[in-house]
Amino acid sequence: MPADKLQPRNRTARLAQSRARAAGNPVTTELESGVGNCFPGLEMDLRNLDRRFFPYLAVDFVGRTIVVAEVDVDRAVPDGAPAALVGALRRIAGDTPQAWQLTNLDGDFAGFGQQSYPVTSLGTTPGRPPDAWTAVRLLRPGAPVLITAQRQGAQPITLTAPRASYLTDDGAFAEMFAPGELTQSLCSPWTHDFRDCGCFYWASNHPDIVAPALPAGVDADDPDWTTPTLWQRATRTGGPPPAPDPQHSGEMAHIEINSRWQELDVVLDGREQRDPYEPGSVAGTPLAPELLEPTLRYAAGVELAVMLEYLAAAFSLRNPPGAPTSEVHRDARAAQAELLRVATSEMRHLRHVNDLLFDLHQGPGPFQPALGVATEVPGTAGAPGRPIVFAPLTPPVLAEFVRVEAPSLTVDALYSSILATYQRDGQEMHAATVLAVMAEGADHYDTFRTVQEWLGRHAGTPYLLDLRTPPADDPALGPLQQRYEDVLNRLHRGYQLRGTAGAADIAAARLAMLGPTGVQGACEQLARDGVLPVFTVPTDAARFAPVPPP
Amino acid sequence: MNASEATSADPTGWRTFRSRVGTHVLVLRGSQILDVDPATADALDDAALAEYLDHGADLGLSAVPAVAPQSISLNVTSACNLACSYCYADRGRFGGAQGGAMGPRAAEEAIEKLLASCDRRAPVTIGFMGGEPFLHPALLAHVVDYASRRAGEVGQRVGFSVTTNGTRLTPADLDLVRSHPFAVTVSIDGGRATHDRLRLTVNGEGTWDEVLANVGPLLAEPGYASVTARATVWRDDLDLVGRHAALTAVGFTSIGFSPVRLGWGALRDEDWPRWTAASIALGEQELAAVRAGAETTFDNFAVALRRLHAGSSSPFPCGAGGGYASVSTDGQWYACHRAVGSPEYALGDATTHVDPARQLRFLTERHVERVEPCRSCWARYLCSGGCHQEASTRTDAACDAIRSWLEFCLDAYCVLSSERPDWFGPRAGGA
Repeated sequence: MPADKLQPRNRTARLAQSRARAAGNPVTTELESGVGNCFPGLEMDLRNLDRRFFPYLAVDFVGRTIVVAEVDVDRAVPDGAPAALVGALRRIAGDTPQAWQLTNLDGDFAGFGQQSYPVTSLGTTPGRPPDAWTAVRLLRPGAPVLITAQRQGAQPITLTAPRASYLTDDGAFAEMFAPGELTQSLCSPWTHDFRDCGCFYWASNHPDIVAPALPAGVDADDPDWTTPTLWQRATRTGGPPPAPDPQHSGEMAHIEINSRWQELDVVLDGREQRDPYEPGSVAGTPLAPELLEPTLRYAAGVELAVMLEYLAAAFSLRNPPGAPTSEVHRDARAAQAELLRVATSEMRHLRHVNDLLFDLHQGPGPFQPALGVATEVPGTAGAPGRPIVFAPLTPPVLAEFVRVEAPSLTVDALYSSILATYQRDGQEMHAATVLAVMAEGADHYDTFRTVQEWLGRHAGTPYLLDLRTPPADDPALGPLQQRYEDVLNRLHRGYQLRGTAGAADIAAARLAMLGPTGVQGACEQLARDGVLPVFTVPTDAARFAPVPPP
Repeated sequence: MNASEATSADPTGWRTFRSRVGTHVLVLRGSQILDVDPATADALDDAALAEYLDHGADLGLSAVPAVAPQSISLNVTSACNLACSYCYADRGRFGGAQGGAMGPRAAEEAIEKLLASCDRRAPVTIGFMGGEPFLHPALLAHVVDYASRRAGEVGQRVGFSVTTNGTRLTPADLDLVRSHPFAVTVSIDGGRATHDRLRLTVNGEGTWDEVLANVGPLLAEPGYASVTARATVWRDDLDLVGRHAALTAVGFTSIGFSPVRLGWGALRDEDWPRWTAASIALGEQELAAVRAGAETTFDNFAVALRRLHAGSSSPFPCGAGGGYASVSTDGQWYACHRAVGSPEYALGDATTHVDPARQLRFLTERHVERVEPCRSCWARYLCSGGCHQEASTRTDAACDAIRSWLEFCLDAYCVLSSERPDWFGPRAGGA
C-alpha cells in the first residue's frame, strides 16, 4: 500500500509521521546520533535562547540593532504580569511587526556590573560588551532588567522585568520556547566557538589539519605542499608552505575568528581550495549497449550474494542478549550491528538495480526481476572471480569483505562501467542512482575497515561463536531457507509491479526479513543452536537461477 | 497516574472524507488528519495507515486516567434573581439539593485541597457557579483574594472563571474581574426580543438592557478578563445567524451557542436538521470571513477548528470527575456543577474530597468506548458522547446533528489549514 501517498495535515498526524522511522534509514539519521548527543549545545545557536531574554518578548539581533520580533501578551495576562508591563506589551503588540527596537539595556551585566548601555554603544565603545547579543548574554538570570523600546515617531517605552529564565526548575527548556525554535539554526561556527570546538561535525568545513592550497604550477604530489598544516592558522599568505606548528601557537585568536572567518578556506579532498574545484570522475569504461542488462543482472546477483555472506558472518559473532560485560562483547555487538546495517544497505542496492532493469525492460512479457545469486564475486581487474562462501567472520573473511567493497576494485569497478554507460547515454537520473550505490559502497569499505580495527584488538577470535558449517541439505536450515524463499518470492512480485503498486509486497518482504519471525530470527536461532546460517539457491524456480558474469 | 483499561472496541479506526480542497483520512485516535489522493483513498487499509494507527494506539485513549482536579467550580450561592424556563439548575436550588450560600471556610478548604493535589506545571482554574454568583460578591472577592495569595505562596498559577447572567454586576465586580485573569461567561441569548422572551426577572421583566448596561463597560475595557457570550437556543428560535449578529453588534467578540436538550424548549428529533442547517449557515459565514483575512467571533466554530488542528481527542467530553470537580454550597464534591445533589455524581465530602474508588467508577462507566452507541461511532473521540447529564437525549437525530457539524468543521479545517495556516497561530504550523 502506498503509504507515501499520505500527507499528514494536522499536528497529531505530523507527530505520528515524524516519530515513525522510515524503514532503512541509517542510524546516523536518528536523534541520538545527532551532534547534540555528544556535544550538547551544538545542535543549536545559543542566540536562539537569548531571543527571549525579556519576558513575553522575542527579539532578533540584527546587525547592531535589537528588533522586537514577537510579543506574547496572551501569556503575560494569565501569568499575572504587572499592569504597566502588560500595557507596554499591548502597545508594541498592536503596532506593525518589527516596528520597535530596543535602544537601551539597563541591568546587571556579568563582569561589567550594574550598567546602562545604549545599544548603539555596544561594539563602538571600549570597555563595554563587544556587541548587543553578548551584552544580553551577560545579563544575570532573574535580576531586574530595564529596557527601552523605541519606534520612529513614537515616544519611547520603558519596560522592566526580571531577565527570563531559560530553564524550568526541572531543567527543561521553558515553555516560552516554541517547538523547533531553539534548533531553527545550528550552532554558529563563525563565532569563536569554532576556535576550540572539539566537534568535527563540520568535518568537511572544519578540519583541524589540511594540505595547504596549491599555488599555480605546483604539482599536487609536491612533498612541500602535502605537509599537514593548521587550517585555522593566522598567517594565510599564498607564499611558501606554512611551517609546522605542533603547538598550534599560530592559530587565530578567538576574536579573530569572529572577524576573519571568511578567510578560512573551503577544504575538499583534504586540501584548501581557492580555485574552482573540479571533482575527479569515478566512471569507468562505458559498456556496449547489449551488455548493460546482463551487467546489471550480474550486479544484482553480486549484491544478493555478498548480502548473504555478510548475514552468515554477522550471526557468527558472539553477541548474547543483555548489557555487554566485556570489551570483546562490546566489539562483537558493534561489529554485528554494522554488518547488519551493511547487509540492509545491499538490499537497497538490489532494489535500485532492479529499478534500473525495470526501466530497461521492453517487450511483450512482464519484467523479470533480478533475484538470482551471482555465481561468483568479481575479482580485481583481470583476476578471476571467487565462489560464494558462507563462513564465520574470521580475520581472512573480513579482509575479503574489505577487498570486495574497496573503491575502484571488484564491485565498485563493475558499477563504474555501468555509471559510464548511463552518462554516455545522457541518462542522468539513472547515473545518479548508480553514484549513490557507489557512495554507499565506499561507506561499506570504511565500515569494514573500522570493524577490522575493533576485532583486531583481540588476540585470537574470542568474539566468534563455535559454529558448525552445515551442508546445504541440513534439516536445521529448513526454517531459514523457507523464510529466505518467502522474502525472494515477495520481492519478485514487488519488483515486478514496481513503484507504488509493488510497495505492499516490498513492505511485506521487509517484515519477513526482520524480527524474530523473519530471516533475522531464523539466523539467531541457528546461532543459538551452534549452526552457521547457510543459504541455498531455491532449486525449483528458474527465476532465482544463479547469474554468471556477462 | 493510575490507569485501567476500559473495554476497547475499535471496529473502525479511521474513515475517509472529502473537503473542498481534497480527499482526506481521519484517524480516529488522535484525530489525525491526512491528505490522500483520491485513487489511493479507495485502496486504503490498516497496513497503509499503520504508523498513524500505532501513534493513536499509543495515546492511551482506552485508559481511564485517575487524575487530581486541576479545576474546580464553587457553587457560591443557590440563589438567582432570574427565572429562566430552561434552567438546568432550578435557579440554583437543584431541586432542593442545595440551599443557602457557600461560606468562606468551605471555599478555602476546597482551594487548599485543589492546591495540594494539582499538577504544578499547569495553571489551576477556580470557577464560580450558582445560582447567580454575583449575588454573593463578598465571597467571590474573598475567594479570589485568598486563592491568589495562596497560589503565590506555593508557586502555582491560577485563573478564574465565572458564569453570570450579568444583571447584578457592579463597578466593584468589574474591577475584580478586570484585575485578575478571569474568564467571564455571560448568559445572554440575543438579540433583545429573543433574550427578553425568557431571561426574565422573577417579576417577569426582560433583562437585555440591564445586562448590556453592566457588561458593556467590561467589553470596552476588559483588563485581564476575557468575556464570552453564551447563548442558549431553544427549539422555536433557531436563527443562529441573527442571534450572532445581534450579539456582535453589542460588542461581544466571542459568542457560543448551546441547544437546550432537556426540559422546556428542548430540541426534538424533528428539530435537529434545522439546528444543523442553522449552525452550518453561521459556520459558512464565519469561514468566509476567515478566508477573507478576518477573525471569527463564533466560538463553537473557532474552538472546533483549533481542536482539530491540535488533533484533540478524548474518551471523555469534559473534565467531569477527572480534572474537574464542583463543590456545592455545603462543601460536597461532585463530578459536575450540573449534578449537584445527584448521588450518582457525588465524589466525596468536605473531608474526603475526591474518593478514588468513586472517581474510577464514575469515569469507567462513562468512558466513550463503553457507551452505546458511541463506542462504534467515528466521532467518538471528538464528541466523546456529549454532556453526561444529557446522555438520555442521545437519539439518532441528535447524534446526526453532531456528526454533520463535525463533517462541516473537518471540511472547514482542511480549507483554512490550506489557505490560512497563519490563523492557527505561529506555533501551530511547521512539520
